[in-house]
Amino acid sequence: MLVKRFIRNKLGVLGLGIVLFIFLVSLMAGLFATHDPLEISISNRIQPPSRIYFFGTDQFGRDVYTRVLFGSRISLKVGIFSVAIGAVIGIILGSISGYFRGWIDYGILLIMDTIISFPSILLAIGLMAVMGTGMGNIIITLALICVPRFGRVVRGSVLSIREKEYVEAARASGSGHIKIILTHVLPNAMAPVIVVATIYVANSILIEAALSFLGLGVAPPAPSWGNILSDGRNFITQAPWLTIFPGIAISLMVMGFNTLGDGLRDLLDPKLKQ
Amino acid sequence: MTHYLIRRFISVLLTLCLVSILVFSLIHLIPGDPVLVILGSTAEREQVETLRNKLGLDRPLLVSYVSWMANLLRGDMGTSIITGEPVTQMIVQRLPATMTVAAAALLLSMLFSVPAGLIASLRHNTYIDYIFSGLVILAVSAPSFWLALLFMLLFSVKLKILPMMGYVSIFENFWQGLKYLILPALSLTFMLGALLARMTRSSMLEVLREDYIITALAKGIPYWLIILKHALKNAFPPVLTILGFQIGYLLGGTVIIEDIYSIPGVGRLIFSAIVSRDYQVVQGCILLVTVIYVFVYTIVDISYVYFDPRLSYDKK
Repeated sequence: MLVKRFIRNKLGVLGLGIVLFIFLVSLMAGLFATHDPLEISISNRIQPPSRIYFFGTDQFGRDVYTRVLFGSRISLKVGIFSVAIGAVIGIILGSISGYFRGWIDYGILLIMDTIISFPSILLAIGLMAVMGTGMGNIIITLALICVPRFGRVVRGSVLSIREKEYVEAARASGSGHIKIILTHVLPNAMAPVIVVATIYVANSILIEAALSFLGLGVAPPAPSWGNILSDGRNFITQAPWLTIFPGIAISLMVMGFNTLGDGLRDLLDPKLKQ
Repeated sequence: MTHYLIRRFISVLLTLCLVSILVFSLIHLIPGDPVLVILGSTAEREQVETLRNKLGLDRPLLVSYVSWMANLLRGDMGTSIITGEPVTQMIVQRLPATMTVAAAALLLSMLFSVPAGLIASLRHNTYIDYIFSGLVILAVSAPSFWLALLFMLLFSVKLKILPMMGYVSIFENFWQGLKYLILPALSLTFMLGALLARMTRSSMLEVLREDYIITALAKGIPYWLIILKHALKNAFPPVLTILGFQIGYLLGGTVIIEDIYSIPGVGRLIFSAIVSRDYQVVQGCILLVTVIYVFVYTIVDISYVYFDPRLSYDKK
C-alpha cells in the first residue's frame, strides 16, 4: 500500500532512483574508474575531456572522472554518518525534552536553539578552523548541526504522543519511563525523523563540499568534490572542466536526497509539508 | 502583546548568552595548547606568556569568560594578534560590504521569486507550474559556491561582460559598484529565490481556496485587485518565516561568496584570520554575524502581526 502510493509520486521515485544510482556508483567506483584517483601524471596535466580522460585532468594530471567517482564515497560517508550520529543524539534529547517537559525541556530547548541560532555554515567554519581538517572532525561538526533539527521534530511528536491513551495505559500498568519512551512513544515519532534525515543528508553533503572547497574539510589529495572544485577555482580560466563536473555531481546528489525526502514526506507525514 | 515581547526578549537574551559561551569556548577546542598552536613551537617563553595572558588562558575559565563578556558588552572584542588592530574596528570596517552583498541577493531573490510563485499558483497544474517546480528543484540543489564559479566562467571568462572579482562600493560609484555586485548576488539568489518562490506558490494556493476570496469575487472586485490585495497579503506570513530562517543561509553563503569574488567583507576577514590563526578575529566575526542573524530573525518573527491581524501574540 505504502509502496504503491510512493510509486505514484514521480518526483520521489526520481529521487530514490538518483540516490540508488549514486550508491551503486560509489560501491563500484573501482569498477567504473579508468585510472587511479591519486595517480599523478605530470605529462598529462590540465588535459581537456577526451576519450581517455572523460572529464579531463587536473593540475597534477589526475583523472577528474575517476576522482569524481571516488568523491561520491566521501560525500556519502560524511552525509550518512553525520546524520546518523546527529539523529541518535537528537532523538534522545528530543524525547527526554518532550516526555518529561518542565525545566529539563526548557534547558534542552535552549541549547538546541543556541545551535540553530548560528548560520550553520558559519558554525561549521568556526569549529573546523579550531579543530583542524579531517573526516572525523567534519562528521562531528555536521552531527552537531543536525542534532537540534532532529531534537525539535522528535520533541514535537513526543509532546502529542505522550497524551495518547495507550501511553497512559502503559503508565497505569506500571511501565517505567524508559520503557514507555522506547516501546510506545518513539516508534510513533519515527516518520518525521526519516524525512528530516533524508533532507539533512543533502544538507550535510552541501556543507562538506563547501568546507572542503574552502580548505577546511577533507584534506587534499583526497578526491572530495569540494577539493576538486577548489582546484577548479585556481585553474578556472585554463581548466573549466575541473569546475563543471564535480559541481554537477554535488547538485545531482543533493537533488536526489532532497526529492526523495520530499517524496517520503508526502507519503509519511503530509502535515510536515511546507 | 507586551507580555509576548518581554518573554521573547528574555529568551533571545538567554540564547545570545549561550551563543557567546559557545563562541568563547571555540579557542578551547583547539587540540593541544592554543598558544603554541598560534605562535608555533619555536616561540619565545616571554611571547607565550604575554599571549596566554592576553587570551585569558592563564585564568580560570569562568573568570576569563566574565572578563571577556564584560569587554564584549563595551564593544571590545580584543585586538588582532597579527595587526594589533581592535577586532571590533576590523569587523565594522568590513561589515558594509557583506551587508550590501546580502541585501542585493535578498532583493534580487524577492524580485524573481514572488512573481514566479504567484504565477505558478495562478496556473496551478499547468505546464507553467510544472516547469516552475522543476526549476525550483534544480535551483535548490546547486551549491552557491559552484554557481559563483560557473557565473565567473560564463560572464567573465567567456563573455567578458562582468568583472571576474573585486569590489567597488555602490555608495562610492553606483554603476561601477553594481557591476561588481551582480555575480555575487546572483550566486546567492538561486537557492534563496527558489525557497521563497516555492513558499509563495504553496501559500497562495492555500489562500486562494479561502472563503473571503470567493466573497470578494462575488462582490465583483477585479481579479487582479483580489490577487494583489486580498490573496498576496495573506499569503505573505509563511513566506516571511522562510525568509527569516534563510537570512542565516544568506549571511553564511555571503561569507563563502566573498572569498570567491575577493570582496573585502567579513567573510574574507574570517578566512584570512583562520589562515594566520588569529582566533580572536574569527570569534568576533562569527559572534557578530550570529547576533545579526538572531536579531533579524526575531524581528521578522514578530512582524507577522502586521501581515496577518488574525494572529494574536497573547493567545496561546
